[in-house]
Amino acid sequence: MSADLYRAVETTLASKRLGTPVFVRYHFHAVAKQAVTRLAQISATIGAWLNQPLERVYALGSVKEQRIHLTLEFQGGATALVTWAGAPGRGNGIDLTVLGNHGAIYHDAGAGNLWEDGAQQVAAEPDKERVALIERALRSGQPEAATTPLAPRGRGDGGEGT
Amino acid sequence: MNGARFGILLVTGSHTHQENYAAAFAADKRCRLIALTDEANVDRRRRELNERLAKSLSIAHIPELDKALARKDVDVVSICAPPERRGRIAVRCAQAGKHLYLDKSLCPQLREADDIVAAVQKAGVKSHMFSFISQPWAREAKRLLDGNWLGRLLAVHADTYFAKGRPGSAKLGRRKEEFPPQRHQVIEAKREVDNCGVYPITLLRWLTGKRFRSVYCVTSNYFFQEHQKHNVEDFGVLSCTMDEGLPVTISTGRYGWTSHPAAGVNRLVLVGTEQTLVIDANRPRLEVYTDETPWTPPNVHPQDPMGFWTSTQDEVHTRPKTTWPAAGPRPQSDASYFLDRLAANRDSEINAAEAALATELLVAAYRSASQRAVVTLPLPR
Repeated sequence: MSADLYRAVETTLASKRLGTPVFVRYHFHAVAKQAVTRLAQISATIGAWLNQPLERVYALGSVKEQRIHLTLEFQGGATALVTWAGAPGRGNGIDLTVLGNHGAIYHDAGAGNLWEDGAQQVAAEPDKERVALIERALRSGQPEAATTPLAPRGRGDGGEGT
Repeated sequence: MNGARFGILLVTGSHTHQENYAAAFAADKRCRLIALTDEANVDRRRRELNERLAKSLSIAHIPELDKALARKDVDVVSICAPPERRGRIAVRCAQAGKHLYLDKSLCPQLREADDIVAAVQKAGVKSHMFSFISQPWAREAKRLLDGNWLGRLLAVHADTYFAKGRPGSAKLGRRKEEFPPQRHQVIEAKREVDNCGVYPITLLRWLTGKRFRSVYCVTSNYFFQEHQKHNVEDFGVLSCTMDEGLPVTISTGRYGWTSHPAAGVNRLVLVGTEQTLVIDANRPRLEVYTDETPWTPPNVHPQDPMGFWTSTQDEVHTRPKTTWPAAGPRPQSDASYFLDRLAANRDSEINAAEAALATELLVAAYRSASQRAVVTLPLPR
């Protein structure tokens, strides 16, 4: 189901109705298993939506704490907040806001139990560079620069939702 | 006090939030507007705007602040001076023994905030900074958190966006933040992390009772060339920790008239070990669709292109947005909340000391954005 949501977002972004996307807020609830991997996949998807390489990551929390918050900075100045909670949510939906310089997309998963429960699927191929960057940021507690900016990776090339 | 009534002195007039605050005080039967004043050396434009609001309210304009503060019938001073003048004015008003009703955010500099807190404490007056805490949704969030309905709080995510201004004119790219910020407010733009961000910052502190301990902030220019021209941000993200390591994220800014069906996103996600609570200021609501002419943004007012002030928006005939009428309880005005506290001889939950904590986080956030590094709190004095 997240693939359907992503397709809708990508179609809307491709229509240019929002202008240039500049910010993404992505919050999700899921079991702790593979949380970092999923965060890496989501960051890749967001990079594809923003069409900018990922440059820096600041991470708070840990899998053990059942919460991880990522602040993502992209090479062209776009930003994203990606937050995961291992605690119970109102359904398994994705709470998503995408801001463009001419408009916004809202996908509100937080106000009710959503029919797309069980939507959380993990892609078969984790993005190892992104996983390593997020793990480094979680260990250091400081903003961590990518060794080289991580190019956008959308659906179909190992990113989230494949 | 003046019997059962509070005498209200206004500092600064039109083209500030005083337009709204004065109306709120005037609507409360416990109040009487006494006069409007300001510092004696304000420029001609500001003086004319002050005279304009005083005239529209049929109250005296007293050009010298000290002379106005000497009046015995003034109990409360509502201060809406531009950010850079707020600190010294608030201190003088407190020293004169007047209660303070303060525009947000408190002031730009940490030393000024500390001075206000000290002056308020020394004078024994009460103080309050404008906030969302009297809103029914905020009260409900507080009730549920205090009642431990969510279990242990694991995280909070807050988004506050103002849907005003004509977006799409900023030149996109990385913003290089300055520290300390040289200006917070000009005619065309405000620093929006300060202007919008103070709301979730204040709310998070009030809701959790915890202090901010660290912040990582990124400021941006995504929407408006007006902000970019004056080197102030229109958007920002903050990733913070509070006491006991509670992590919170905030995104905030101004993003354009047509990016939201109402006044903008104003939302909290409170993640607990037992439940997750979403507090959305735009709920409960009706959704109304008709064959009326669709809402369109107003013409740009040359003295207020971002739609900051009520009078300027009236002048360009801004139509109300009507797609999402509120369907919840009617909110108490912030001014009425403060009057309730004064009447009960209780300090505000967002007094100067609390407001100063928000100032401290905002100063830390701008330092973080300029250094691209995590800044820990409390900041050194």
